[in-house]
Amino acid sequence: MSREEHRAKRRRLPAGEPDFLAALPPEIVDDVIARLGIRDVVRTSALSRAWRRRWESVRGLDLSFRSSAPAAAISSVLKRAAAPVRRLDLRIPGRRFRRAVRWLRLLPRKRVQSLDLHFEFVFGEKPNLDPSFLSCLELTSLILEGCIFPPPQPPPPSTFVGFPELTKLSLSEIDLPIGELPRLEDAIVFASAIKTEVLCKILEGISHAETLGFDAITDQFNGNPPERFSFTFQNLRSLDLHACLDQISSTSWVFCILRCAPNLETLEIEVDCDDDEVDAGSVEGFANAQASDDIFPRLRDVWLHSIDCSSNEMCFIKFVLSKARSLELFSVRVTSSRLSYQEACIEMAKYKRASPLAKLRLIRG
Amino acid sequence: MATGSGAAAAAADAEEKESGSRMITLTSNEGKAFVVTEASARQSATIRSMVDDGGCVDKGFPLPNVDSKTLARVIQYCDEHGNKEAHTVDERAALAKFDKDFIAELDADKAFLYDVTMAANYLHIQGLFALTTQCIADTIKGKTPEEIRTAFGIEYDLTAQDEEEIKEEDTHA
Repeated sequence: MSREEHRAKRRRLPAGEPDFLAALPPEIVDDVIARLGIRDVVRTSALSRAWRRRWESVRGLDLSFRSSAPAAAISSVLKRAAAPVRRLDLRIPGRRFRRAVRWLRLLPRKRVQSLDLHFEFVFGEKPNLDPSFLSCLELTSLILEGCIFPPPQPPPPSTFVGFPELTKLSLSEIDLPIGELPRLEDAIVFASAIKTEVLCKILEGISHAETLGFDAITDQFNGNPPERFSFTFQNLRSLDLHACLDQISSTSWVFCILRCAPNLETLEIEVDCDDDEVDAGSVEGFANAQASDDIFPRLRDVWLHSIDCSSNEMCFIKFVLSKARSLELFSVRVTSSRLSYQEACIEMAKYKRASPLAKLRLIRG
Repeated sequence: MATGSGAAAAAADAEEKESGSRMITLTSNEGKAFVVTEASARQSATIRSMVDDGGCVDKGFPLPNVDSKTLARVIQYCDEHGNKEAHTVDERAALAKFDKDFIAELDADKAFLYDVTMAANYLHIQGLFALTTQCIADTIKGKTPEEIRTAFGIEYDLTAQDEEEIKEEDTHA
């Protein structure tokens, strides 16, 4: 196309129509751009000459990519984004595991605040997480899933001490040297395949969190938890567990945490037992061992989801009602029932309640 | 004046200060005065810090960067958010409804929307600023470059070489 043709092709605007965005102060335009999704952000570079590289210097961009995003687009954005990034969210399918290493090596200079790396499941292959993210000291939120973080061989005299700003941490199946996390508030640990001693170490590192999500379904665990942790969850107010009360190993993790959480106020347990094997009396043993102790004195609100009223589950409900002296509401969702639903209701209503205010709410379905 | 009533007046003064029910005068760049409650004025971090620094509450605050029309609209927002409670679910829903109607009306008049945005930025009214910039961002969302140019009056001045580069970048995205 000749220059003249090209010029003719340009779409001229009606005279007098002002360029509104250009008239706004740059910090306002930055704020607007930072509110866009990454595809819209990149598209602004095709608006006009002034816009060609405008977005690259915007602080606080949200770089959230879907797993279908082209790899070249991700590489290009990561290279071009020149200002501190608010959020980087990558879903990485198996064919991109190698490429992801190169992306992660671009991280340290991005001053990312929120990092969410989700490596999609590939049978028999878990990628090694590149240690470059350890230098993202401005992280306030870190979510890692589906990768392994191997201890470096030999361990270097690491300068990594922790993430000073981190308030939220979520680890799935990752053995991470988390270091010091002085500002941590929310932690989630899903780690059914991690060795018990490593898991205890991770829990100790996050034991000052205010909320904890923990997967206590444990059939792949290398052993049961210790009798008692050497630490307490002193700040823990809210605990969200995934557990099977019909399994001794899972139940022992539940009690192990509950015993060490003296300030717990809300407890939510999603019950999930996929095999029919029931360890008879799994709860009863722990409950009896706890009989004389003051456990969860501040517990106010309990949610128990998806129970089928097995004797262990009923025993757990009985135990909590008999112990939680500040309890206000105990909600139970019964999905199926070994007893008839009515029988289960009558049975539960009979349990002694340590708190005179405690209400029991049963939901069917 | 008896000492007793003087003390009572001082106490009333203190109480008034405490409850934020003092009135504050804001003056537009056209010299028009708007009298608002302190709670309303405190929506602006700029005015809030001047008030807290013991500034000239009695003399009022001249706002040389804001015209009367814009200021009236900004005050409408501040009154709603400063004078009303937002404790219950219903109260918060009412405020959200107010915000939605407020921004829909502004969105219909882009030039005015930008004036309000700039005033919110200048006065550091965080909620209003977020509301207006999000509205501008929503105008860009999901649109083609051509549609964005039309919406914002951006002149097309890309060279053939730019177009080549953009095409190249597009094959990535």
